[in-house]
Amino acid sequence: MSLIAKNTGGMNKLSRSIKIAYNKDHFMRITTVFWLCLFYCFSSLFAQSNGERVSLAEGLKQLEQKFTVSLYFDTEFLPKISIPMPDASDDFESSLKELLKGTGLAYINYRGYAYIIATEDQIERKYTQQYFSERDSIKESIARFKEEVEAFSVGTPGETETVGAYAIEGFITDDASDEFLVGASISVEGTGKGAISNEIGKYKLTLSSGEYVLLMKSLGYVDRRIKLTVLGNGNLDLTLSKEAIQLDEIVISSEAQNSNVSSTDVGREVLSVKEIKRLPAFMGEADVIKTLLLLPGVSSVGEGAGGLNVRGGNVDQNLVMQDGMYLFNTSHVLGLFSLFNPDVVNKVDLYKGSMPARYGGRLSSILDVELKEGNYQKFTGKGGLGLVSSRLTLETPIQKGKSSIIVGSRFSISDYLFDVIEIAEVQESSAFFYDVNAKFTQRFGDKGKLSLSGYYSQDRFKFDQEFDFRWKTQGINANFNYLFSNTFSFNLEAVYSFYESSWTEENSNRAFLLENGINYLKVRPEITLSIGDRHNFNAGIEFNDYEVDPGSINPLDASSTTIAKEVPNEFGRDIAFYLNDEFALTDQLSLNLGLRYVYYQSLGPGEVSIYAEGVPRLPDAEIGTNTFAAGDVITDYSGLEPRASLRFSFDESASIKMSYNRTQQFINQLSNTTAVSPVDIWQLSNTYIEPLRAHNYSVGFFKNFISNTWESSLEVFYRDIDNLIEYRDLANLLVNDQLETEILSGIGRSYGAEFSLRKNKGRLTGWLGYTYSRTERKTDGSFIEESINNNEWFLSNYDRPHDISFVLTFQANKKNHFGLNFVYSSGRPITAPAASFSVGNALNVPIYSERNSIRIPAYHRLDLSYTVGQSHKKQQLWRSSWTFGVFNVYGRRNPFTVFFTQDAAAPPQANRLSVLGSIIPSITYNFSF
Amino acid sequence: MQSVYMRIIAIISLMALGLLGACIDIIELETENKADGLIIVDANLELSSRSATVQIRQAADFAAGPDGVELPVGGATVRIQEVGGNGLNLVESETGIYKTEEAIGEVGKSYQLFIEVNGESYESKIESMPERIPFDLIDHVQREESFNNSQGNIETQEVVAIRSTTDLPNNGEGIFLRYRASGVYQFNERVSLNDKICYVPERIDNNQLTIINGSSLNNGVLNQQEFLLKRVDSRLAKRYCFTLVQISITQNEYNFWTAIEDEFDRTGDIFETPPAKINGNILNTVSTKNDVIGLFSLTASDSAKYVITGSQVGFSRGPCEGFPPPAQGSPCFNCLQIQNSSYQEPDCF
Repeated sequence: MSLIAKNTGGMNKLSRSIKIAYNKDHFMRITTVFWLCLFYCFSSLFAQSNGERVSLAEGLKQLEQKFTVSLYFDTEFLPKISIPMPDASDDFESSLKELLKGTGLAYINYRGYAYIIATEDQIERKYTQQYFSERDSIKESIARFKEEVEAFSVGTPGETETVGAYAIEGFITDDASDEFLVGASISVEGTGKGAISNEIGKYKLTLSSGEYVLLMKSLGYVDRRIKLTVLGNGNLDLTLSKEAIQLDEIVISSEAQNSNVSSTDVGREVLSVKEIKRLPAFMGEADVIKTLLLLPGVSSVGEGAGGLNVRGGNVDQNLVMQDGMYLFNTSHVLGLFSLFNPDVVNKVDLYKGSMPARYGGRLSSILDVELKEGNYQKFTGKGGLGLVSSRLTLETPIQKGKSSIIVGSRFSISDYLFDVIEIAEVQESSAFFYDVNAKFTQRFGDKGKLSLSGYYSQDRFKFDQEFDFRWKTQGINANFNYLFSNTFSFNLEAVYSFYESSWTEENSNRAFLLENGINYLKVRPEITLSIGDRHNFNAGIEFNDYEVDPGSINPLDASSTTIAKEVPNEFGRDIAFYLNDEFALTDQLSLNLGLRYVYYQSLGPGEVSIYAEGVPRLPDAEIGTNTFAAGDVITDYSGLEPRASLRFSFDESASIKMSYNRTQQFINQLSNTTAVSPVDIWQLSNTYIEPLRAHNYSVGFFKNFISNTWESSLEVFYRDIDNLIEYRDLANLLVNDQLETEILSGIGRSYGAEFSLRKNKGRLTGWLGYTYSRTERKTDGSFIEESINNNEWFLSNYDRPHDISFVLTFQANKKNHFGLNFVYSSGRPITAPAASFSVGNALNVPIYSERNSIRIPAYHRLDLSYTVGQSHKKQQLWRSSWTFGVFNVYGRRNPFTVFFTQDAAAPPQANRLSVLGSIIPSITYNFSF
Repeated sequence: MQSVYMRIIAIISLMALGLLGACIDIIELETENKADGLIIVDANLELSSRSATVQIRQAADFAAGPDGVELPVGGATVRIQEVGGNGLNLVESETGIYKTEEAIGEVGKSYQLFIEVNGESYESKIESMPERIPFDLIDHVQREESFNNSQGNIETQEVVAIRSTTDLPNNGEGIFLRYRASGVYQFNERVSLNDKICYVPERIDNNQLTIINGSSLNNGVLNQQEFLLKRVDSRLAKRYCFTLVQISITQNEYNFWTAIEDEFDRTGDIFETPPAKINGNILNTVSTKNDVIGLFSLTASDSAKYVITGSQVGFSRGPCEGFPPPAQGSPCFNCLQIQNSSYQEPDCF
């Protein structure tokens, strides 16, 4: 079986392609055979057999076609001679010998199906059977092979001018699926020049005539290095390969080589699905969010809690997008699994420091999850069976090379198993979920691309008769890209989505059904413009229109003590204008400057309470209301958001970077529980709830070692926040039409340092991350009722000063790998009792101390996994693997929280709640075809 | 077939391990454990009663538990002021307890409590005296109920649930109720020459809070609302006399009891509202120190007796059987050794 990294461009010049061969007879090895070929004659062998003479290359090509064999050679070795058309002999080797007679070339057969053609000297001295045998054992890198042999040229010889620059452009695609690779980088070594493929996978370089070495990189693909001879303007389409694992060549880097050093981004983390899938996972379910939690600066309240806390930010301060669609809840099964189906995810980008101006609306971070496009060449599929869920993803071309579709789905199987377990509480419980992703992509020549994607997910989490949560997310996205010229492209994105949730409590005297939700529409036209080699502009307009259903509650039956109530919907919209320019001042110094302006309106219909001055804003301080009709502007806010980042490179492997962002947030998730819940409501900025505003500062030093084998970084960050939302003690947020009486406005700050050491290559890969961070907040109320901890700084409930993650994967052989995670973090703060009182018949009522003043015990956990039979043979029809995992190996009962119980006749007790307090084994079967 | 079955069982077991891995256990956790001079005010003015009582104490360190002592705070100046009317100064009858016998709480009138002590001044919110809501009907039902025992395990026990049926005025709007209960049981000494019977009063509603918001009731009808659970044990074997009180309270007091009820119901689940100090309706007016937990309670109570006999609960016992023995002595021969007991037969016996 062989794979060909196709050279679809370069027209008919000296193009060559690598053939990477796998020996299926040698199961435990992957052999890379390089060499290149190039035939660009497509005429028929026998059509020219009437004494006609052809070039040697053409003759070889015809021979290859006739006998259906693979010939590998470098056209540089071929003498420029013409030969008679090959005879139609029945014996391939005889015909080949005849063809090569007198040319100084010889051949060697490679494992019975391929022939390497080189000079007689090379065949004798270099490309011996021993040579290929050694390749199996010493496993030289693919990149090295490529560097040795792969060369391209563009332009027409003879028309080359020594002065002036030429434009080289083309597409970068996946060699198997033909999918355009967005964001693939090409760097021209030794020049500081480079390019990034745009939204439709197109790149453009401007180079003067001469010879260059280009290095191409894209997340999840093997780096590819080529020689390029520039003779003039020309097209050069390139491919990258999700190539087989080479034991010494496992590249786990989230980004391309040295890009952590060379980019202007600070605090950006990029993950590939490959990387995510290699790590041990809870119940064997590869999970985007859980993997992000292993990165420095990313934490959560505890296992089982949904969402992320990024650099001291609230969960709702992260803009989470899936193909541009905002997600208001990222969890399945409350928080044990995330919404993202790893089989349809292409790439995960987390911006926790610098933030391009095209992103806005949240203070802390951007999580941009990009979904795959369907395979443009053939029908493929993948899936898996686990203890919790099963999944299946199918992709196929609709019009080969032009349009494709991918559909992926996951569904939980736990409910079926619950039914079998003969425990009444379990049988009455449910942890059901499913999600479906679908994406259709249509290419319009080499200029345009249209993507239509849809997402639907539904959850139900029910425990016995105690509670019953349901939530669902639906959304559609349309994205159109058009390349007007090599320097100017246009993108239009439109998204409509809604999220709704409910909470039913059946078995109590207050039996009720509570429902709430949110929907929004987003439209974003955007242009990208390149000026010269050094400027990349990006500008656009983003419009968001929100409708929030704050909720309604209804009694389930006549005996319920719940009072029916509904809070009217709220409306708001914002429009943002943004401009971003990434430019290189010098080879060492690059800047990324952006500016975003946002105008927000809170809209009617609605009623706004008026409260008496000089007293705490409590419900009984209401003295009237203002009424607004539909479309009326109740209040508005606006503000500029400058963004800047700077990179200074000491050399190719070391740089220092700085960034500053101003961010604003006009929608907040109101959550006064330990962890965010599916029924938390979203609240738009209004008369009393001003937009959150933050200044974010980051500085980082980045250093790579040993050809990017090791990456290290040390980043320091600081963020201060205005109008931070806090809650009164025991605030009641559900179905409350006077939320402003439960909410306090404060300020916040978070700061810390993140250290990361990562090994990207080799059989042993992984990273060590350490974060020291603090996150604090403070109210400024004039009344006791409006202050927390006497207006002193206090810790947020997710403040964890020390956080360590150690991640290791070891490729035992070509098919099996081992994974290990170890995490440690300081215990988070809780509010604990300091004293007690008795009043009436209530005895020993705890009196809680200042908010979040006590820490629960530290969290640590070890997970292991072992994957066997993971085949990487690209052309194998059915590939499968088993993953065995153990979560929480030493069964630590990590406290999610500690709460206190008391009894009239018993001393108070601290109770530790562990969500996953035992050893949890898992087994998962994965397959693809 | 056997192997398929075993495989299914194995998968289910693994699944169960995964999703039922949550657990709660008791741990040691060092807390600040200091009351920090926090004072507790428990003040009551009862409708139509001439008596008003205010107790001022210091909060006890939490770790002290039920043995913790809330030290009385003496030397305070305490006054109840009728809004737009007269004020009454309360006299310290014993340390930390302030009383007056001249108060008259009237329905609809508003009152405010003022306290000065240790250089700080405290005042309550203005509260209005609610109207009395009498019981229409009291009954009980016997059933099983699950409790968390002292080891944190769930155990099931037979209980009687006392219920109130009451038609609230104004469809229940603005009506807030809570309940108190006490009981008296009889204890027969071991058969002897005298064969004496003691009557033992006891508080039976400790940490049993039932509070009602009339607005939440269907048409303002409180229909067989359970407000007290009493475990069925030998104390109910002969005759048990309940004293039940249905108390109208103000909305602020209702909010206070609701917060305490929520605190008692705390299970630590991940979607639970974080705990916080429960404030009543009394605040420090001198400083912004949050150093008082106080309840100024205006109440209008309706009291009723309710008797359950041993035959009703299907429980019988002989003399001197089935009781946890008192710490000292033997009540079997002298039932007066039981705390608070007496030979005086109450009205309801």
